[in-house]
Amino acid sequence: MTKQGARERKSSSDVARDHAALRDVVPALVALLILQGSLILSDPHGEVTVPYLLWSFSPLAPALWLVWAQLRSLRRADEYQRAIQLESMAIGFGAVILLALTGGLLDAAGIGDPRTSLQVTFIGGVLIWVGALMVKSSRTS
Amino acid sequence: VNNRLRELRAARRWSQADLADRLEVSRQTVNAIETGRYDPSLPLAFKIAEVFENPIESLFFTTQSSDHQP
Repeated sequence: MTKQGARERKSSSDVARDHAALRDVVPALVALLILQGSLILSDPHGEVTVPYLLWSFSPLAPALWLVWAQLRSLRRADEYQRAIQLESMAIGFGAVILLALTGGLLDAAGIGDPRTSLQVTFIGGVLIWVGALMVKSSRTS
Repeated sequence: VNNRLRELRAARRWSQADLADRLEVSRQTVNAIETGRYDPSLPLAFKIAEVFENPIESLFFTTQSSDHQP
């Protein structure tokens, strides 16, 4: 039945939700890429000035925009989709806690670099969140 | 909780997407309910009953009571 479902068209509420999610997420992603790219290109390679320090926080604005887009997506979702999205977030959150704890323990033992641990924690958490959502969605798609 | 959604939908020759449109939910949600992966909330169960013009108790039943279903 899953294969039969995969051949079916989306419902009109699915299409409306997909379009709304794209409208929310794409501009935020473009802004994030532009700001992050400009930061990488404008690396001062020396003394960090206050304006540069403020500018270096600019990617937080589109990141906040993405969080807002995720909240809107959660509100638009129907009850089943909301349940699997929240379960996937809980799994991702658990992964972040475990990875952060592992990084902290490694740091306490004098092994590894805290910056690398932070990057692994962030990327790992997001990947596990998205992976869990894909697995849960595939069971009923 | 089991249900007769697939049977009633097939009798009306509706696709999962057709039913999802009538219920204003995603096709994924209809699939999850039909396959027993998800039990709908009370408001959605009432809406399903309204769409199929059947009493709610004839659509949803527990495994124990399924022996008594037609």
